Amino acid sequence: MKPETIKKQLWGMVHVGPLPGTPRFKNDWESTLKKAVAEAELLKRAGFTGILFENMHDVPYLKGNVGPEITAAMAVLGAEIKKATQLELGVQILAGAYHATLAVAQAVAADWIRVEGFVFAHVADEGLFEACAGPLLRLRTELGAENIKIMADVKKKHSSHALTADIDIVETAKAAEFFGADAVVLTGSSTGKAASEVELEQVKQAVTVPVFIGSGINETNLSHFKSADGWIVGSSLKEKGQWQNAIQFDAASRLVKAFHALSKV
Amino acid sequence: MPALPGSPFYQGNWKNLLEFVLRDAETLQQGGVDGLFIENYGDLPFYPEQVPHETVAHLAVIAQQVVQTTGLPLGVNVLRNDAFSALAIAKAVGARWVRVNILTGARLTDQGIVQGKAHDLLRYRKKIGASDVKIVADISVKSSYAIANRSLEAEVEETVLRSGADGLIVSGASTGKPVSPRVLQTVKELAGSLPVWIGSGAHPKNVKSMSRWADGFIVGSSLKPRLDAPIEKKRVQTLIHALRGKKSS
Repeated sequence: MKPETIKKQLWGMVHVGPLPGTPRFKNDWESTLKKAVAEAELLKRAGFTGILFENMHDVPYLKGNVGPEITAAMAVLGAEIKKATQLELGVQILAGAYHATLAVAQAVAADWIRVEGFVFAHVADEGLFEACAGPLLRLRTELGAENIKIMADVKKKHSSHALTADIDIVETAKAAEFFGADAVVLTGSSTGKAASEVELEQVKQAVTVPVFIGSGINETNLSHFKSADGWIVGSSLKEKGQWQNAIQFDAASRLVKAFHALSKV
Repeated sequence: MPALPGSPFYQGNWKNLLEFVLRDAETLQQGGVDGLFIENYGDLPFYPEQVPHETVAHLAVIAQQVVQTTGLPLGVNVLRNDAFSALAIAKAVGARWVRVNILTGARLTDQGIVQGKAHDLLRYRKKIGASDVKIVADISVKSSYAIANRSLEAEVEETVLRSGADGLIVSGASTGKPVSPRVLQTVKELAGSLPVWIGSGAHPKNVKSMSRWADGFIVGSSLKPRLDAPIEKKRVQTLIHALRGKKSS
């Protein structure tokens, strides 16, 4: 089957290097930009259907907002990635910086933003996050950016969900859908860790919006999550499976092969 | 530049806006300018200080395309006084200058009292690794009023010696209004080695005489029939001809 006839989405992560003003920034912005665009091109060559780019190396993250240096850098990056790949494009600015994320997505004509803390509340590395659906959807209307779709993490990785211990992932996903998410994302406990297959089945039964798997996917376990509508993959494409390392073309190609094999089953 | 997404007078078509701006940039280049400034002039009423993320993101994308299309040195001005966002954009796209309307002191403007933030701005420039981006600061900027009775000499001295400006801009009363030759001469004499630019009202009839003191001209209004009209190449050529004579036009 040809890739263009596959409706499901295989997205690759571009983990952008440390941006200006962040603790690990090495004053090498131009090479950071080039490297991110090269990784996006590699993902396209390997056969991915979409790209999500994220300021992953800006640790420790700010909570809920970033400075204009991040917005400007991510906008330039997004525009260059879009120009170079013309693939479906998503943006995420950590941590939970939804205003900057939406602004960048609009400026670069991206298709999606990925948002954490869309409904309810959780405690993340950065502290307490509360629901952003209300202000985010109002902002999207004010900006005339309704064409940008929102993929919302539910019970997101790297977070404590003790606050919502009496609300399971199915209810959380239903609330995200009710509050206007265009897709929900399921993750494991941290970057590179697999989500639960059982939870995927339960959430798929409960919502009508697409369900993405947002961590821990590799060429061997992809088929266990075949009922998902899309997969966002980063770590397993990297050298030694570590997100900090560069994307390997061979690993990316193998995953695309596994992705194509799904539709043959 | 026309109103950007998120601002009250945005017309709703981003692609058209981008094309309009790039056409202006190309016209200026063909007309023979040495560099370009971009400014969110359509975003009125202006925020006095920090602009929202959508302004930064859209300006960054425009600036990037202007640089890629023309290859000319670029300056950024984020109105009314958000030089932080201007520096952020300059860093991201490799622009050379930011223009700051009020770098130091305080003035009464149509946005209220706007205070200079040189102290934060120069630290921010260092923090984001943008030390090679030059700060050009307005002296008694157009469309603003003094709230203290201070001499031009004192203002220039503070802007140059205590606020870290890399260049100065002299403007008239408002957009399109010419600069007083006396003010220009005084600022130039006080500026020491710093370049002094004309920031409003440069016109084929006055550029030659102004060039005696001015090191550069930032020109907009006189290059188009109306403020919201496209820039006309003929006007650019006429202005440059008036400044440099036939040879370089």
